[in-house]
Amino acid sequence: MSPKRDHSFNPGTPKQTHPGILALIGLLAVVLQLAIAPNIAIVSAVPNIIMIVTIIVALNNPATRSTIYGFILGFCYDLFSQGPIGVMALLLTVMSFALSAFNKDAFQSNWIIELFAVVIALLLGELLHGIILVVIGYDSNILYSLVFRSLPSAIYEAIVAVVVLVIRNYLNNRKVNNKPGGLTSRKNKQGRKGTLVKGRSIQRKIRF
Amino acid sequence: MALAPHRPKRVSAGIVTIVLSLLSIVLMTVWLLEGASGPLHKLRAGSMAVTAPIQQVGRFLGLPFNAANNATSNMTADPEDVAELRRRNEELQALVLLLKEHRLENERLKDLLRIVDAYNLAPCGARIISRTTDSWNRTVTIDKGSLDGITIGMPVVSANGLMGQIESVGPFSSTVRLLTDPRSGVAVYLQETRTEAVMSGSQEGLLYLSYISLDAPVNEGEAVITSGVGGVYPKGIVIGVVFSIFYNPTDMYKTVVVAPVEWVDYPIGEVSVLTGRQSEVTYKPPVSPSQEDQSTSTTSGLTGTTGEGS
Repeated sequence: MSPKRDHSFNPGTPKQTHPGILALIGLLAVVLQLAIAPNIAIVSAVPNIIMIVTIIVALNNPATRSTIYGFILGFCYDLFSQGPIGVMALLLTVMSFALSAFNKDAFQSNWIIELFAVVIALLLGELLHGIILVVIGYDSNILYSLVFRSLPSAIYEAIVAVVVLVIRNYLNNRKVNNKPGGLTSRKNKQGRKGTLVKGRSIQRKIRF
Repeated sequence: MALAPHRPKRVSAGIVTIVLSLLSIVLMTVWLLEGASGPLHKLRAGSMAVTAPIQQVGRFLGLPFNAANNATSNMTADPEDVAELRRRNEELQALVLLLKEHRLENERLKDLLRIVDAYNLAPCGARIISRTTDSWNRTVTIDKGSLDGITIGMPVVSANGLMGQIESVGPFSSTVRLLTDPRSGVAVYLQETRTEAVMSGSQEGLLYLSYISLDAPVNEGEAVITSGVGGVYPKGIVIGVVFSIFYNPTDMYKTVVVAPVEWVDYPIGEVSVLTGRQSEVTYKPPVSPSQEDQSTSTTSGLTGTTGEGS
């Protein structure tokens, strides 16, 4: 009997992520924000890697943990950037809470919905960031802030987020298939010949 | 009677969110109300000690990106533009030689007139190690900090002109706010017409001259130079040239766009921090004829042979 292949994209981690792994991801996000993000900036749009990571973590973890995680990473972002301290911490705290409140029902079933949610959250996050900065008097012109800063950054971040999610799902799929009983496990090598080609072609259609 | 098993109380996510949000708002308020010497500003300055090594690594990681960017720019350059730039380069080389001669003459005359430079400025060379890490600020990080004598407010110049001002200082690194940042402002004057104005950055990355009335003379192409008013930037540093002028008859002021002599938005390379104190204005007492005779007798004369040519 050929093994059944899971054609739906694995949305990642239905269970909550281990705190140690979360800490490592957070540290990596901060390092990438400091070392890589300035170098891949396009004109004035510097990708907010910390926001991308926080949103993806919030979609896959319980609310309390996500909220605390969002606050800590937001505070780090504030500390290491040149803007007012507390703005990103507030934004990521509220966003993490809102996203993790929704995730249980919708986002864990389909990765495209998750992707859509991440893109929308990034757009909203950048717009809110711009609005908060104007409200507290750090920036003066709301239209220019949104057009020249928020929108380009949000679009750039959405592209980066798509790449990150595709890579993550690809790695998760490989992990699932390599497990005993998975398609690429030794036990199922026989079945692989007959079904994999078809399976791949179907999966490609689902992916892209 | 059996005791119920002890179960740790779980804090509601909503309460955590409210508490952390309030904490964020408190942090924001404190940051906005405190001065540059406040605890949060100090915390940020202290954190630069941690981030500087990461940014140094990032500088090396960014070299391929910069090289790719330069290669793309060079490949897409128009041959006519290249020829024009070569021609201008030759003209500028000739101009540099002429200006060098004028500078030497100027120094000789200053010496004769006993004029002492009001700005006791000592340049401190530094290297840019990182650009801004967010989209909302136009800043760069340099590899010199408080241990090298850098303090907040010092002007930073590149080889071609003014670049910005030190905004925050850590032990080993400092952050420079660039002129193109909307929160930057410099008192300037125009070289030919001597019209004074305030130059500021903008969201879109352009430099604008503010408060130039409609009847004030402004010519396209004339140099924009720091006026020294306000005491932050020393007088006489070139910033750029007037690029365009436009206004409506109903406006109170002209809108003047300045093209910087160097593209200061995303600079890379070396800069100088002017570490002298602007308040150190020194006055030389007038020299009496007898003293002057003594000084001329000990030197080989006042006609430019006192070593200024070196």
